[in-house]
Amino acid sequence: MTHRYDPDHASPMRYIVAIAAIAAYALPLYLAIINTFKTNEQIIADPGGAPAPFTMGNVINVLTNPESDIPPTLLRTSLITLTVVTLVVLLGAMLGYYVARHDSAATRVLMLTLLLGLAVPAQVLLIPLTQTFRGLGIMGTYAALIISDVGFFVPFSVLIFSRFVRSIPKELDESASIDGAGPLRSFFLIIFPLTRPAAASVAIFVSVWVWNDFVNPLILLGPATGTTIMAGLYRTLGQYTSDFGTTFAYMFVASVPLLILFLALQRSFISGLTSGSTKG
Amino acid sequence: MSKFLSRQRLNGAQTFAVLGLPGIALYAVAVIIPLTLAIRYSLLDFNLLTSKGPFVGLDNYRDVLTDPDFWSALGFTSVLTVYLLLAANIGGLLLALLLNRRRRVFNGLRTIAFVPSILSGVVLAYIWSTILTDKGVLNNTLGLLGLAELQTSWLGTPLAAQASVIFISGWPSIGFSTVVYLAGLQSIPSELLEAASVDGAGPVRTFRAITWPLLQPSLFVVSTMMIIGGVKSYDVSAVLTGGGPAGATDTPALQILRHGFEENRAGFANAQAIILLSIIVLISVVGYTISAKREK
Amino acid sequence: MYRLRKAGAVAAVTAVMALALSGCAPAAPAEEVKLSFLTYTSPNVTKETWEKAVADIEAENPNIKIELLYTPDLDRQGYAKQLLASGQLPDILWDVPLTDFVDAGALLPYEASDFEGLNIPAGFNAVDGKQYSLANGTFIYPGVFYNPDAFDAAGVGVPTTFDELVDAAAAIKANGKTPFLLSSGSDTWSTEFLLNALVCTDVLGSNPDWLIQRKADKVSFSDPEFVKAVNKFVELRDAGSFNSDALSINYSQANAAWATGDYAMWPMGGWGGGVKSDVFTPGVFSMPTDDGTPILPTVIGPSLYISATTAHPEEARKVAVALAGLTSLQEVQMKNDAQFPVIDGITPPEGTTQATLDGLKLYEDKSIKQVYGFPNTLSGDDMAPSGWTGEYDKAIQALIGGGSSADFVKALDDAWATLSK
Repeated sequence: MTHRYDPDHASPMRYIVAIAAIAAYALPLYLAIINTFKTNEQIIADPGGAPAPFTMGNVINVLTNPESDIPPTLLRTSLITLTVVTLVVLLGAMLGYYVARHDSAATRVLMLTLLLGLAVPAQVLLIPLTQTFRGLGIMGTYAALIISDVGFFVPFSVLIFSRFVRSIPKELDESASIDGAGPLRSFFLIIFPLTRPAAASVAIFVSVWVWNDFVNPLILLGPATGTTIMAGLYRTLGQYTSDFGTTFAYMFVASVPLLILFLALQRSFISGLTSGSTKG
Repeated sequence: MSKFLSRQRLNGAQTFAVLGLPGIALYAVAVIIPLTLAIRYSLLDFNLLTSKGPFVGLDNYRDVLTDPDFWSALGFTSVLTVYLLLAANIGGLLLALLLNRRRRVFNGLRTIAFVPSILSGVVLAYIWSTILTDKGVLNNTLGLLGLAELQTSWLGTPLAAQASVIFISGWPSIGFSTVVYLAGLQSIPSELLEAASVDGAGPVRTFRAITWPLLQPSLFVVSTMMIIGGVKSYDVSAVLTGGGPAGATDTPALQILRHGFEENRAGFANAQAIILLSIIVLISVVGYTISAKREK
Repeated sequence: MYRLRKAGAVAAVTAVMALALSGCAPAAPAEEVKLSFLTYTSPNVTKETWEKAVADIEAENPNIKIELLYTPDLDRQGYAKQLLASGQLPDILWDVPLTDFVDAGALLPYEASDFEGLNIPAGFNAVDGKQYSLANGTFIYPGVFYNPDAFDAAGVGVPTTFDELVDAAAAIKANGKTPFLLSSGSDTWSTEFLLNALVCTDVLGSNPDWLIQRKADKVSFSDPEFVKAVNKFVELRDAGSFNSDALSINYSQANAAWATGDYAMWPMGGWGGGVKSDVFTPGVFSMPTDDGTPILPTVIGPSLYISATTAHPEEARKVAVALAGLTSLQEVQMKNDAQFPVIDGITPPEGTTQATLDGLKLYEDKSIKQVYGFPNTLSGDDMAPSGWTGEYDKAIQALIGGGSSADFVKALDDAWATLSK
């Protein structure tokens, strides 16, 4: 008997094993979610139990508490993330396209320099970065945070886009060129719209990194500029509260937006992970 | 924008200026200039608060390289990185093979598997601390299962704390690599696999002859992310153990922040940062060379 | 009554000074002055508390507008350093590392008149004869918070000598409760308080200037008196007196654990007196000495500082002085943070915990010798080199984990040598 390959068919056994494996894997997530909807007393007494009684109190408390100021913080973080992601996608796609279509010693050196940036731990840059921004006179502004994030993540974006663009036949550019389009025109009108999967990959990764970063906002924004959601969460954890229910609710509220973004972009994201990379 | 899109031809330099320069300029401001400054500070006895300090040559580098705490943190981080590579690639591949069916349930499971990857280190560590403290969920469960002899202080003894931090750092990585490998698997043309099964190849042979070679890009993506993430790791230690007990879960990235800000040894911290960066670059170059050879 | 009159006099003097200052200002006295004030919030001292305090001061000084800023976590000194390093220092600051900041020329000094009415020892925290810090409270540092029910159940009283403490711990353990609650986890700073208490009685009790001498390399951590304190810690450890999860729980989890009533003693800074329990009423005593002579370690709490880069030095100083003497603020800090006021005329507000009242009694008992708590983490000449307390906490973790006294004191001396380079 030969093994029949059929990607659209799954045996009951496979269902059972797959569900069990992911259930085991996701157990900590389950804990985080149930504790969001439990009273503080129950979390302390029985951290693993199902909510009894079920309460929305923690979430309401977090959303309405003027100390944590969450709704405007969520909005602000979304705007910062959106700006950074847009710039990283656009600048990375342009530079990635340029690198992919102009193979020369110079672009290879440029690519290596950019790859160096991928390897730099953010902490390494923090101290000198503040000095640089002081020199530019933008410390404590959103511009400082956005410039540092965009500059830091552009290499990743270039890497993804350049691999992706190489998988797009050059003939497309050339046919556009015969029609009289310059490199900019062919990039914006022909290539960029095709890179949607790569853009989705970059958008997801960069959103996760920017959204979850709490060190840069604390320092680069300073105390006088409104902060981001993870910096706010870090502050809450730093206050040594034994109100564990509120903390779980805060984490829940701070994480859900990224989850929504992932669900929205999931399909493109996954094809973006491979379309560029199958070509190596 | 309209001018960019006009039919007017731009010369090479202009094309570069429009397409390449904006990204490079921001990269220079955010990475290259600060990196140059970091190298300069690493040669000074730099005082962060006054932004000054006398030139001390390579003294800071010598101090870092003779600091036993640096080496133990580097050792811990290396073990962590190796674990990330193994767990993400083996665990991720196995889960991906399991989930590789185009059915709604499997797509749902894939989404769940990815969720830990989007959570911040702070959130991950907080969730796990409820599980791993001595009276936490894990020890309670072990007690209920009659496995009380397996109970230990998961964060309170150096070895167990190291294992905990390593395991937790690997947790989101497994889901991440599952999604990457799944994407790889689903991009393999099904005709190839059908042809193999018609030829009578068993699943193991099909995997070795067709699937695995075509998964090399996924292996590359996962391994790169794990190495970069592993060497830079700090937030799980910071939130879960504070680098303890007794420095057991300290990582170089954590030490850089501490030396630089708490101890006012910014020169030392920058030297450590440059050494860490050199190590990452070295690994990347070696990895890139190996992968480039394979692709030939 | 005398106290109240004195407070009134202080208020009058302040008011006159305020008038004099505004009189000095050129032509337009109504010109608005904006000042930024970096402080902290906690579940105990909320934004609301500060907003009220600032509103009180703004009402007194119509030309001053104060912008409140908050540090992101309890590492206020670390954040202040980062702000200074990145050139973003606000005008008025709560709690900065004094000597580092003075070295960097980042602070403005106060004048002697600013300290009138404040019960702070003359010359406290002076650097080169100048005072840069204006304290607004005092803490016991550390105290031993205790659960009277656990002592009663074990049939032992509150110990007055160290031997009695050892015996009490044994009896409590035999009775099924954990004698000592310690914590560490991600809050490595919280590891140190039991040893701090022992060092205060055994080392500082007979030699209050020990840390200053350590800085001059006249004494070392391997000296017998320091080793003796460490050995006491090891004795308690070997008797199994500590909670088994001492190294894995953090400070928040310790707060929750303390409230359960399963532990008899919790060595912690005075603010631990603000932690309440539904099952028992915590009290506090100071670590007993060998011969029973009580010694109370205290620290003067975080202070107010003026940035050297402020555009309005006079107004900034005025606001700081007003904050230090603000009754409503001190009452909140006493009730919720167990901080003792440095101005006279404050009575404990309703809702102040029993542990805080116990502590206040010890603090006001002039027959009890007070020493400045170990290790000094706030400021002053006897402050350990930057980063040393981090190494100290790390070494205590190793000690709790079973390390030897000899290794411990060696690690402390080594770290001191490295960090004071």
